[in-house]
Amino acid sequence: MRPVLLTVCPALLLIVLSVLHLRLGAAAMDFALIRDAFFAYDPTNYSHVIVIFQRLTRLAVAIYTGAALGVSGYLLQKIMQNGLVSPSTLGISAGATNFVILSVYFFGFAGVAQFVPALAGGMAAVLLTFGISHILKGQGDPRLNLVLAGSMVTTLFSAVTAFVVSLDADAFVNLIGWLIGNIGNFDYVSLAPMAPIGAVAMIAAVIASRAVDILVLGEDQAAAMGVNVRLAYGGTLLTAIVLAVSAVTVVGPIGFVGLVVPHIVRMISGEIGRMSLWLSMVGGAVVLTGADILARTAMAPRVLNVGTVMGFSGGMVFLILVLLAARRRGSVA
Amino acid sequence: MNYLGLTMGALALVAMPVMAQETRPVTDHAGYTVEIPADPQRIVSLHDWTATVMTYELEGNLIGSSGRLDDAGNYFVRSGRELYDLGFDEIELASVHGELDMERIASLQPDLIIGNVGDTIEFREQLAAIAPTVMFDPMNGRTPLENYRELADWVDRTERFEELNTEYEARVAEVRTELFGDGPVPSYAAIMPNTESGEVRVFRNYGAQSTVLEDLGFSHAAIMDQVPETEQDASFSAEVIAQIDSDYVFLTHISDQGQTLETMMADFDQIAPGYRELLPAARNNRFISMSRFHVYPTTFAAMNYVLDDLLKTLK
Amino acid sequence: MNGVVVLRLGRHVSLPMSRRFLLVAPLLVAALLVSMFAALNLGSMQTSLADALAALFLPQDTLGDSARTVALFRMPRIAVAVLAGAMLAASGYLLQVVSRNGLADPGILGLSSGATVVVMGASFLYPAMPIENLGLLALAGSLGTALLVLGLGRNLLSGGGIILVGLSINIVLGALIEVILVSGSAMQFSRLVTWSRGTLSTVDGADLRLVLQWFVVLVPALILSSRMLAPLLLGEESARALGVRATAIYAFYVLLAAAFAAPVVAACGPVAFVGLMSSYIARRVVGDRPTEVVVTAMLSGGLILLWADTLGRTLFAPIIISAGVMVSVVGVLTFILAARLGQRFSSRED
Repeated sequence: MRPVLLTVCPALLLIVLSVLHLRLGAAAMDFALIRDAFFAYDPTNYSHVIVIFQRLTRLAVAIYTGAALGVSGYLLQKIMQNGLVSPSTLGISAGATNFVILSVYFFGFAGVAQFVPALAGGMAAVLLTFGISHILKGQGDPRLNLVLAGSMVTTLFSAVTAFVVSLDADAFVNLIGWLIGNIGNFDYVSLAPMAPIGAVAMIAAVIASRAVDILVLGEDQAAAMGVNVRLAYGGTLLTAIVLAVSAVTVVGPIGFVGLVVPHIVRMISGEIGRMSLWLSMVGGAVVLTGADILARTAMAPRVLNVGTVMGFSGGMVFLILVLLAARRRGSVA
Repeated sequence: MNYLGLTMGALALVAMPVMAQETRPVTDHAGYTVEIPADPQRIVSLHDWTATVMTYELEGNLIGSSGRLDDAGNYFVRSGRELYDLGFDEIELASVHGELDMERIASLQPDLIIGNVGDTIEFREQLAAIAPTVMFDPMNGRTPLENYRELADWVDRTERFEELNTEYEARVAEVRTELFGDGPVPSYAAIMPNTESGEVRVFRNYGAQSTVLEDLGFSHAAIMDQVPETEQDASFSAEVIAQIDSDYVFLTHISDQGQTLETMMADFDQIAPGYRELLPAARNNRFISMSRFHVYPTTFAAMNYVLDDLLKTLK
Repeated sequence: MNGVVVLRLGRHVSLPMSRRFLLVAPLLVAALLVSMFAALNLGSMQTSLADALAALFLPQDTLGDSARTVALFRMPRIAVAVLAGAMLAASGYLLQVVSRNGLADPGILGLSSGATVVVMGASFLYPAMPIENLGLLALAGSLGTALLVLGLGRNLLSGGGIILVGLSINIVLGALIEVILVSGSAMQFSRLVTWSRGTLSTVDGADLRLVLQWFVVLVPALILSSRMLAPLLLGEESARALGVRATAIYAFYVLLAAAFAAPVVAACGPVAFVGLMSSYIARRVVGDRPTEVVVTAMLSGGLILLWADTLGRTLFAPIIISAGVMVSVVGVLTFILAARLGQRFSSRED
């Protein structure tokens, strides 16, 4: 019974939020209108156009990027056995953003092509983070060191981004929202090429989930059970990076979905098994959709950036998690 | 004969006017009252596509400007390059856009510095230590020509401004008759798409482009009145696109980045799909885009460019 | 061998100091003085030694043009760079001792962000606010954040826990900063972003006075109280066992760290990494005695920020790279290098 509940309930939640998302915006629309837009689409009725081409596309982006970031964070936390890592705290988002800005400034990259520099940036950031935390081996909590190293790397990459932007601020006017992390009215042209990449990555994650579960038990045990430790670790890491970067390419560096969702998932269904993977995916989508709704309604008529809302609420949730963990006086997981 | 005495006396006579420069107080756009030379001889401007080209057009004593770096590693004056062939062969580079280089500015020995409120306000005190500094704000919501007239006063070229203005006004009257005869003048909206955030920027005024349009008698779409009075523009969610129901819609594009009217309209397809059937301007092929660096600065050269462009596209 | 030498000054004062410190500290002081004089002569415009000397010793009204350039634009900047670097180093070291983690830094714990939010918000709303007020506002911001971090992390005062509390508050404050960042035009965004990384370009005499005033008050307080730091290095339980009121001392040092960081944020924006790097280097080089480490860290911090600023404004002239960006980029490389060297240094000792 429980597995069925766990599979269905989050999906239902997502559907409810989605409908809410479609309802709200610069002009609230009632359910009848939305239903008509879907089933009796009239191209001359501009409200229908808004629902389908402006709000639905936003919703699709929110769901996809939320899911990608949620799974990415879940994978990272699982293989590193560290509850503090996520695409943003490891510097992946900052690295990807930075390389994209460089590619725009020097080579005029646009659209899908930006995925390549973004991926390179994400990988470079991860390598740098690992390198720095390796240097600090033996000093203090290694899990904390990783996060702090990631924080240094984030500062580094965002400093370079700031400098490049300052050279010609007017040329980056359109990118300011993206730089902070935002869901705009991107049409599916931007999302479409990313979605297959993300789908492939998710399938890879599902296939590898058993091996990764074993990996969590310990390297020696995993090797004894016939799991190629290096491949499982490296492959999962790569999958996580690809998922995160595909999200960043579309919406910019939105943080903390990948940090917060795995914690919630672990509280509900632990860390083993495909159920957790599913929950991370749906959970991420739910969180980001909810954040987008908040971003558009909290300070209406002003529209906040989703990145800002996630930063604010994600930071708060992170804080609560930390304090709860401290109260338990256990290890920080 | 005391030749030495004579020479010294002569030198003194020559030197005195330079040393005893008259000054007068003006209030700049940041609200500061500054004592500036009545007839500035060495002007440095810290914003290329407004103050610099304006001063240059008025034949003010411009000796230096801030500049930008292009892909090839050369420094250029935005809009100076496009409208006047003005570059750093004619004047000195005072700083690179982004951070100000005080030493470089000081070495030019200016007697008047024109800063830009948007990005140089924090440097005001340091600049004031070099020379009297006035802050210009092209985005304060006032009409561009008003701001230009004020700048003309600061650089002591009011006469030249009025000359050019009279010529311009005459030309506007001509063009108006040519395009619209005695009949009514259509309405317009000046906007820009933002494909990253999915919003539409609506401009209360936009440099030379909107100045010319208003002077020609174009009325503007209601949505432009929703822009706050102290701002040049405001961003709205793309859902308001339906309210942009004017006869004409004007855009600007950056040709260096490969933008054209078609690419801009494609951008609108992205953020407001369906607008081509919805908006009268789109249905009647009345979306017009001009090169941004030619039409943003409110100089008479830019305004003539706009007039030329209108004659081409509206006839 | 890192032997201890006892300096006797008269009959009553005997100061035990490590041999390494006695070697390193004067070297750093000399390096600092030389660097400051070098920086005085470096810039996008050519000046001569005579100009530098004149700027240093003669009253401003009597100076010729190039000497005046040196006096007006380089002197305050150099002085602030050194003082700010030192203060950030002090702040970083204190936080590292309190959190028992070598990566702590006022930036990471959110103290700088707290000051930044307040200063940025105030500057955005009142662009002409005088620097003294900004300094006080910055202090309010950083102290407020420090109190928040302390309050929430009550149970976590020792160990890595407080870093996590600081991190999450940092994130929340970062979101608030973002709201301010996007509220203006593209140019304002760019300027604010540059400022939020730390820049010495807008530094003038008033900033120098602000930083100097705080420096003169805080540094003696730090030096005099540095004895109290030693027991903290042993950890909370041991400190308590020694009869030390650990909680109160921790709180005091976090507040002191906030006070060190605040005027720097007001004068030049929050520069990241300096605290972290200088303390790391200092500990690698002179060992663990708090007074020695703090002095070494402050000297190193001053050097680092001075060179970051000087190189940033001369290396690619006329393009100027802000000190904050230089520190971020160069800092990481320096950190890696220093760590490598430190490893080799200490392994040779064993």
